[in-house]
Amino acid sequence: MDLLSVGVFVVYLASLLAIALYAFKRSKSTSDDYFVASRSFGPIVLFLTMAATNFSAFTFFGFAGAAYKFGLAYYGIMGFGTGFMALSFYFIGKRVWRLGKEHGYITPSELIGDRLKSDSAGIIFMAVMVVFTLPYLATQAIGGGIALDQLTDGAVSYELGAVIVTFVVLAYVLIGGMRADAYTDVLQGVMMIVTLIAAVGIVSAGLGGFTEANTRLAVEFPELVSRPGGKGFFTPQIWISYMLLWTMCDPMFPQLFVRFYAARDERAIKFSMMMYAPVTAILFLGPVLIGAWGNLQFPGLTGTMTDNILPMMVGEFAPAWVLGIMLSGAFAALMSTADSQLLVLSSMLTRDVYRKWLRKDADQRREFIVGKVLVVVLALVGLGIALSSVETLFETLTKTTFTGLAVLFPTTVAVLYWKRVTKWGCMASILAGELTYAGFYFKVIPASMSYGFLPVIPVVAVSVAVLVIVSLVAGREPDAGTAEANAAH
Amino acid sequence: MDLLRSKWFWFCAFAALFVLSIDLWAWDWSWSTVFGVPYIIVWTVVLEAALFVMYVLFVRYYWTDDTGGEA
Repeated sequence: MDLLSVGVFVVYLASLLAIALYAFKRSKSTSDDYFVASRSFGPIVLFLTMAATNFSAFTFFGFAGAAYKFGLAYYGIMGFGTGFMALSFYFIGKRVWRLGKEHGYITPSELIGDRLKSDSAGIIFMAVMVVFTLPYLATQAIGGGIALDQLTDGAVSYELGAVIVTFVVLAYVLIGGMRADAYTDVLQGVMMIVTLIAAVGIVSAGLGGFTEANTRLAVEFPELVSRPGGKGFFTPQIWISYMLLWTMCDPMFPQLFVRFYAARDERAIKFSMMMYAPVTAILFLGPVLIGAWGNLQFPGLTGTMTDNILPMMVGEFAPAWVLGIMLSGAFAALMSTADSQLLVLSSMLTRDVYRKWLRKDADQRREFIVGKVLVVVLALVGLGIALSSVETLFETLTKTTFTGLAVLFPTTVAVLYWKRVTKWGCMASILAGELTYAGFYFKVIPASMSYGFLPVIPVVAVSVAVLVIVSLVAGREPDAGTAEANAAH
Repeated sequence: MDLLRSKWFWFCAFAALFVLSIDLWAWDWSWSTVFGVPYIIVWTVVLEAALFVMYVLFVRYYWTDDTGGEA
């Protein structure tokens, strides 16, 4: 274990806490400020907090591990797919921001429940978000455990690493809420970009140069430099599935959804959308190159070991003290996602459960305190899942979170745009989608029923069909507020 | 400029870019380009550059404050 390397990392963590204290001094003790920073984020802060929140432990570890197994074609799916997803900042983000500002919404389910005039629909929407975000939260602690284990040559175990990362995130979320979350994201976003570019330079130099590394990969592992990729992973159906998966699930990440509320104006959302294409092009290229190059230095890794390939490669070629800086970038990615997830899960439980069902007369001050307590509880739940997980980050997320959240996409779009949508249509859509997903997950429905696509395609198709049919059959209720009401704003 | 203010133009443009990303005609191309970078990486960078230009034009000419009623 290199003390200088660990020292660099400790300084980085201390910087985050210092930023959180600065945010705390500017904050107010209200739920509106704690959860959505009084809707004050300008273009730069909004863009960097969106990007830092979107790029998680999966980007650094799971994605590099997937590129190790399946090859460079993963760049197209992740880089362009995520850049293309930013189109939703217009057709979802713009309206969510506008409605949030006019009605004071803080959580995603408040918008859904209020527009449909149905607490039940809001609760179902919230429950799905909470259930499927918890595994995602856990993967951040898993990534932290992996990175600290690597940084300290095993002196800090995976389990202890996960605990340390969880408690650091907990500390600055408790101190400064969304404001601290976003301010630290600015530092973390810059850290991610700089360290990834540096990591590509260091690793490629160690492999004999950038051109040499690519040439060797093409000669020694030709299946990894084109589709269909390693193990024939990439088929046209898989390709289309992932492109649609990101477009449908990313805006349904509650931690991204609430950032639309936090924007100061539309200009901030527009700027974030424009910058998403270049930032995804840069941020996803590093992990995929290093992951695929990993086959040259560490061939034959299997299972969860593939998630370690990025820190292994950096550790192999970077001077020991540089490793601390490099891995700070990885921590930046995972902590900036974990803090946002903790905050938004806490806000949903505080606003949609505590205030709505348990204490209807709770004022903003009380919500603020309950929100902090829930942040602690949720962090411990995420940590518990992380310590019991045995799957790779890639498997954990693609099998659970992404598809589970994509089911909410049809409901969200319908609530924002379709005049004839009803609460019954939305509730039936969500339940039918999740049941279909469970059928695929537990193999009750044979995989062949997806015709080579990922389950998300038939699952969302079922959701859309049920939404339309039930809404039309159930008929529109006189007081239901949806797109008609929106149009009037 | 009127074209850039048309909903259908943007619908077709983004749909076309999506279809281009699935470049079936080059599904198994593996040839290397500059610095040994394989085709699939270069193609993705080209797509990202095109996407950036389209977003800039979209925000400049279409996403104005009075487009709230359009999907």
